[in-house]
Amino acid sequence: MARRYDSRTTIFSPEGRLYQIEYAMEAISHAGTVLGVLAKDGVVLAAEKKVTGKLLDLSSTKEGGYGGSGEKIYLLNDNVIGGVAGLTADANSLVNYARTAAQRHLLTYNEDIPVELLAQRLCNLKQGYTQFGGLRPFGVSLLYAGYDPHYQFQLYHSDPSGNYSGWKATCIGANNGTAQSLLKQEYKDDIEVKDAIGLVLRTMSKTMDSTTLGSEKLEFAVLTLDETTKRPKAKIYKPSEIDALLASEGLMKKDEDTEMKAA
Amino acid sequence: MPDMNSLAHPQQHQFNPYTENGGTILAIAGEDFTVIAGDTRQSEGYSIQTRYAPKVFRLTDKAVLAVNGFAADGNMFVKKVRQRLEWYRHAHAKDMPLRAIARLIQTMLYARRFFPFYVYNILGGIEEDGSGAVYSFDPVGSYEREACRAAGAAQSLVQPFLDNQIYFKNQTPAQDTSHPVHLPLHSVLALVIDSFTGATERHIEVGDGLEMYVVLARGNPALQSLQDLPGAEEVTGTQAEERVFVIRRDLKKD
Amino acid sequence: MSIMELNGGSVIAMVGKDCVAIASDLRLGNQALGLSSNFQRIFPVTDRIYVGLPGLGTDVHTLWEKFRFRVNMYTIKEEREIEPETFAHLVSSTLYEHRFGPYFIEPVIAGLAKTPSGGVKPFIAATDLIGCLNFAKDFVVAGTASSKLFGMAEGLWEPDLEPEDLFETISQALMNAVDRDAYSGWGCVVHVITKDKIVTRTLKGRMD
Repeated sequence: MARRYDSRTTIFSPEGRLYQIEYAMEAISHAGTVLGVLAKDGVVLAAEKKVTGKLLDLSSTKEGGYGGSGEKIYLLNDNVIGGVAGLTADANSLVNYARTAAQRHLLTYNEDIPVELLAQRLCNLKQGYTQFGGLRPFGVSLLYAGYDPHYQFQLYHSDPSGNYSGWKATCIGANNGTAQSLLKQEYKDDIEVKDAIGLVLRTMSKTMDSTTLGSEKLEFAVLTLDETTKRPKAKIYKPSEIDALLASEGLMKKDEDTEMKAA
Repeated sequence: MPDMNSLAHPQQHQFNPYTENGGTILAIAGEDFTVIAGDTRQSEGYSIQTRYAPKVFRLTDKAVLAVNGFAADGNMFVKKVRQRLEWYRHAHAKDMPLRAIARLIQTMLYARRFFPFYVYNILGGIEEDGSGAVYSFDPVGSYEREACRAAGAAQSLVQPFLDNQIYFKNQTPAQDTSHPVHLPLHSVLALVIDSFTGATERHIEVGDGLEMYVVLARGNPALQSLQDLPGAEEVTGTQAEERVFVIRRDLKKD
Repeated sequence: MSIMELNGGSVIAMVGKDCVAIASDLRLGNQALGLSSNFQRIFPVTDRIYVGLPGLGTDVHTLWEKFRFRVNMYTIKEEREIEPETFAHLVSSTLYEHRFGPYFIEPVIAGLAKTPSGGVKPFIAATDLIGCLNFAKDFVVAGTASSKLFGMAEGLWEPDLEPEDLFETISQALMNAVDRDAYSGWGCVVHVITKDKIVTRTLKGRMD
């Protein structure tokens, strides 16, 4: 019975559901976890990398660029970092769309695009694919960590249906339920970035499938305000910086040899 | 053979008595000398008519006239000025003073107020008091005495350079010093050569050759060095106390 | 009435020894009437590239914002800053897109390019209003005082000027040129770009 309705994105089932959208969301809930926490003085994003292996050429991520290995976390504009979960190819297309939309806003108004407006721009696009025939929806959920002068720091989430919502802390991808209940317990309204970093990393270490936490499995970014320029400062961590951060937070994967010696 | 169609419409023909022959002239007055220079290219549109057509003329032993614009008018104008100067010499048994030549040129130009000589004139030489002088004119006779002036095709390239290097415009003298009022001859000659090589580089109507006339006041100490300068030719006419030299230089021919 | 001369303004760029300079006047006018003596027409593209946009005032802003859009997209996608020569081609192709209804701007570009050995190489370029590139080795000029700037630069410029001497040369070239141009002047701004810093100076000029 369901066959009749789930092969078309634009057709409702008798129960009033759009199966393709639900399948897309299901696909995302198996994707690498992306987690965001909104703090008083910034926003923190972390993402679990799925494509790993020692044959993967990561030479370009070691230096130059904005940091990050370009799998999950992207700079969308000077004031917005995006974290993506789902089909990587679809995500690339959306990231490109977001960047162009942000620059178009800058061209028209000579100001950084407001974070919610950027989320809306993408959601309008995504929604279109739930209504017009012949195409499948984007299999991507996004987290937007951003800043604009009106609403200050913000964290948004959008899904394949084109729904979006603002969050203090949220998580998409695999085990997002577990992560969200952990965040619910630990989140405090006046949390600062330095504590949010710890919260994000600890939650990630508990939700991720792998037992070890290291730069080969993690992407990490922080959006703060530059003290001198009063402009948003997006920092996407390089692999070496992530390892240093994990070490300082005491979450570095245990090196068995050193453990033996300590014992 | 005109076809019937074109004969059906009235046709208007007009003779344009003027053309523009390119080139640039320039004059700089020193304390006791004057340099009057011009390139020797004569062109019409994109065609070079000749690579050697003088634009600078010795009038007397203390006056040199540079003419630029419409070459035919320029040559005729110089001829007429020379004729008036000869009449003056016959009547007064002496050369006309520079300031009088300047006024004469004004009168002659303004006489043709409604069919002007299409020529920009720069008159250089030595005044009766022995000072170097430059008079510049527009085609209908407006004139003034200046320390330097450029005219012609590359005026816009050369004049700001002279403002800067002769008048020291936009330059502040160092503490307790002041800019010189007059430059020595060798500096002036260097600036003239630089001006013309620069203009030759960037302007298609300037080039081929450069003629620099130097008029020295009586007793000018630079006389010896000028006589020794290779390529400097003395063109003084009489046994006057002022001395006139011409220095020729090649300019790029492309 | 020429659109290129409606608002006035001139820009010049020069190459020095391991440095470049770019300078402009500050006048914005409406034909003979002066409107502003603080009209900036030189913009920073990256830390070591500047672009000067003499021409029609409205196009100065519009074109600069278009360049910023494209440079930002280049930077964010390429994850590195644009090189001067690449930017010059971006300028050229952007202008040529409007071949038959052009922006009335003749851009001047000055910057330091990175060399493979880790050093810098001075770069200047200029284009006409439809993007014909001119990669000069010495100096480029544009705007209503361009002929005067050519004359000044041809007379003053010499190879391998140190930053301070280059500043003096470009300033004198510009100031004396705009003083003979009714459409340019009312003060100047000069940027000297070296490997480790950019020095920007605003010059007082004749106010007539």
